[in-house]
Amino acid sequence: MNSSIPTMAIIGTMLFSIGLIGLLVRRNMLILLMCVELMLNGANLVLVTYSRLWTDQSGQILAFVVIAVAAAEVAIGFGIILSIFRRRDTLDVRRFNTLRY
Amino acid sequence: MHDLFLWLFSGLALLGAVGTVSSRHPINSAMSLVLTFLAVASIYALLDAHLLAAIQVIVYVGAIMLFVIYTILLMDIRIDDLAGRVSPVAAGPLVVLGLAWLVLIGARISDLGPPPVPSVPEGFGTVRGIAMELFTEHLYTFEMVSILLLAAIVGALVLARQVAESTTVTNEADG
Repeated sequence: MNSSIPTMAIIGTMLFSIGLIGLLVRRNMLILLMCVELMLNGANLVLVTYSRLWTDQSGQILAFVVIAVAAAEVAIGFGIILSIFRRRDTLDVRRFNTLRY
Repeated sequence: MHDLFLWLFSGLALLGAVGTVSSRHPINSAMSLVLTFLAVASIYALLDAHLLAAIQVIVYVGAIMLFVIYTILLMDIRIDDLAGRVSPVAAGPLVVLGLAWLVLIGARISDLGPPPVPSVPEGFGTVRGIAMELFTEHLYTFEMVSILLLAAIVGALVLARQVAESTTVTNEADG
């Protein structure tokens, strides 16, 4: 158990980094939102890891809050993507460069 | 045994993450993301966060990913929409930077050595333990999350009405 705490923290960091790289590199709107989910999960994993290390449940409660935020973000984000897709007929973020429609 | 499971689930989580970022079609990304979420839920269970592991499976895999997959299916994506998979100018330096950052963080964490992990107190990470803390010490957090979810529901309704109105207008224009 002792040696697995650093491993889990590193795995959380790696999930966050992979999500961040995807967010900066990809151009498909749907995949960008999924990369955000990946980053939230990486952050959650680090929170829970340190909550176990310090046996303090506040970290887990913060992880619950993050899950609720992720659910809200997905509901709104995918609604917005769907309505943009109906108007523009594309998912490429480079095409979404005006605020008016 | 514990270490074996840890390495297994860590590998699965990273595999799913790489699949999410590198897949060409969003549905493949979504499926890889499901793999990552399940692996992370298993790691939560290894960390004695049992309630959180259950919530991860129910909310993330059950609700969020279902929503994502429905959205993808609704969109009827043609394959020529998927052009521009990765901007090659950005990809190289970013991957190098990300790896360097990881090595730095990893070296820092392993420098500290394996920390002494205290044994689990009674009720840690169970429904009872979490609820006792959530509804006493973190009650304001709970209330704020409810307000956030209410705002999200209202926002989703507004968006759904907009979509419905614009389809009606298009239908009338077509007819």
